Amino acid sequence: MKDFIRSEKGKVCYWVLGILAVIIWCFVLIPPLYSVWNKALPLICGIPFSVVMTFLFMLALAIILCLLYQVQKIRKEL
Amino acid sequence: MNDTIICVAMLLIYFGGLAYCIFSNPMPEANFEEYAVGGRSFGWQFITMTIIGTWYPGSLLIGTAQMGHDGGIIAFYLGFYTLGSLFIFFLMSTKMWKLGSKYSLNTMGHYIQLRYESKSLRVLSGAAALLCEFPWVITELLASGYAIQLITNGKIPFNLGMAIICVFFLIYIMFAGTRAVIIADYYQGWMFLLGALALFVVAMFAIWGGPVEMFTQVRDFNEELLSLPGPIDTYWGGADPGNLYWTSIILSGALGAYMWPSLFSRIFAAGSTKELKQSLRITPFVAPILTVVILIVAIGCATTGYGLDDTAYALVEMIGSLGPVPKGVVAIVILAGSLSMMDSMISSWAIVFCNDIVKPFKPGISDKTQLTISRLIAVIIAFSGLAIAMTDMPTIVTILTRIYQCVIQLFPLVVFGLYFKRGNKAAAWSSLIVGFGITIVLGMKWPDFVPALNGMSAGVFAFFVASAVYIIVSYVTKPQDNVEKLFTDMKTPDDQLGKEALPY
Repeated sequence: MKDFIRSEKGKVCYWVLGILAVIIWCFVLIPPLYSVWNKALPLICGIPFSVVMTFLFMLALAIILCLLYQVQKIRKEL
Repeated sequence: MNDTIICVAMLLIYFGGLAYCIFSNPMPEANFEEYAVGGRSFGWQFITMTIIGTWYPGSLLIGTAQMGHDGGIIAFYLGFYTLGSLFIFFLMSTKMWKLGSKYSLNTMGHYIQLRYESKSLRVLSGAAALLCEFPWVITELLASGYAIQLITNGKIPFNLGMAIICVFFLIYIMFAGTRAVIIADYYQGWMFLLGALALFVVAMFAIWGGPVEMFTQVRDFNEELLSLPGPIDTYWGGADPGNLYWTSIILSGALGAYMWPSLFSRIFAAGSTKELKQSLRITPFVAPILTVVILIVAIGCATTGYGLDDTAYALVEMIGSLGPVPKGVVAIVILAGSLSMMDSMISSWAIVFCNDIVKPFKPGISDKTQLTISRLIAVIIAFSGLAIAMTDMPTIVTILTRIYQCVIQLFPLVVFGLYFKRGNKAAAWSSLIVGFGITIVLGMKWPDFVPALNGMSAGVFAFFVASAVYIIVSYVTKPQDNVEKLFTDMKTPDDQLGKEALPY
């Protein structure tokens, strides 16, 4: 995996992570898309849907940021 | 033992630890670069904790918590804008650090003069950033005054509490400038992070028996707290703000965050680009965890009946009711958040004032005089903030969301300048004038959101227009000659960068 990331083709990792981040940001920021999760019901393990989705979106964005840093580090671009 | 004695003992231990950390680390050399950016010597652990310390203010537990208490999940915008700003940090920090290291840049204005070759743009952007950020210190002084009053059970009144805190952080800013601030923020960042997490998790179980029981009560109380935009009748006064309000407050925060002088200067304090970006191993995860834990307790607090006089203090009153130790911890968490934010801001402003407003007019000024001016300016700014904080002010979140609308107008100049070679002085001036102009004109009539724009704020609308103006003007005017070299510098590895002195 590290060899692939270091190779010329490894730049695709930035694109994959970037596109994932853009999709999540669209769900967070664009009104017709955020209406998908903007509701109290259904409950997930007793927690309102909107709270769970907010947490999951934030966590996914945090993981993407961390992975972007790791890709840069492995590719020795820092 | 008397509750007040327990609380005061906790406060003294906190201040004792803080003072020891700061005063056992003096400046190795008394020069302006050491004072302004701590000798560009700090490792990733320090950069990480100072970002957290500066990011999460003490007013989070008062102003933002009030937003959660009254408006529900709309307060989660804080977590999203934190993450948005970290994406922007990821994009711009390496390039900015390289320029900072090569040309010994200390402030955003310094970079703007280098990029656009305009002294007046440097002075204007420095002054604008200072004016936009100034209200933060007032909100944090208010929060710290409240914390001192709370922890001493009113024995030290609100205004005296603010004055004590103000004098305390001024002493250590004078002592070692950014070095003292970063060390203090490292200590306080940990205090804030661990104290807040432990406190709010314990409170959730002690008060409701767990998150499921808490949310059941919130749904029974008012289900509108669990969806956007929150209770229309009580929070919004019967009128829905429009769909783009949520989008606007996240965008304002994300685009504006690194335009604040206090956060921007952190980029230059790191020892290398690697140290700078290593902070991304921890900071992104703090946003979802800390934001959600604190704000769900604030939302749950709406069901308890605390904060009858002022809902801003509901969360703290509720935690304080659990006993002297939780009361002491919540006050220390507020103080840690407030102090780490105020010290960063006041020391950065003093440096920005000296570097971007005084130095362009007196280029031959000595290092020692710059140091003295910076220290003097820190005292003037801190006491001005204190004097204003002692008067009646609007609510904390109202102040903060409004000033963010202004500061994001600096974004095109700073970030486009790093990526867009054609960007030039004319484009920078045009976007700044258009951005501030539209924000001020629309913001006077609609300070929070513009109904005709479906809830979008004046600042975000102005930002889009200003960005378009920047790009159009860049294409219709001549590119600058110096840009090619700067773009080459931004791609050069750290160890081959070298140093080049600027004449300003």
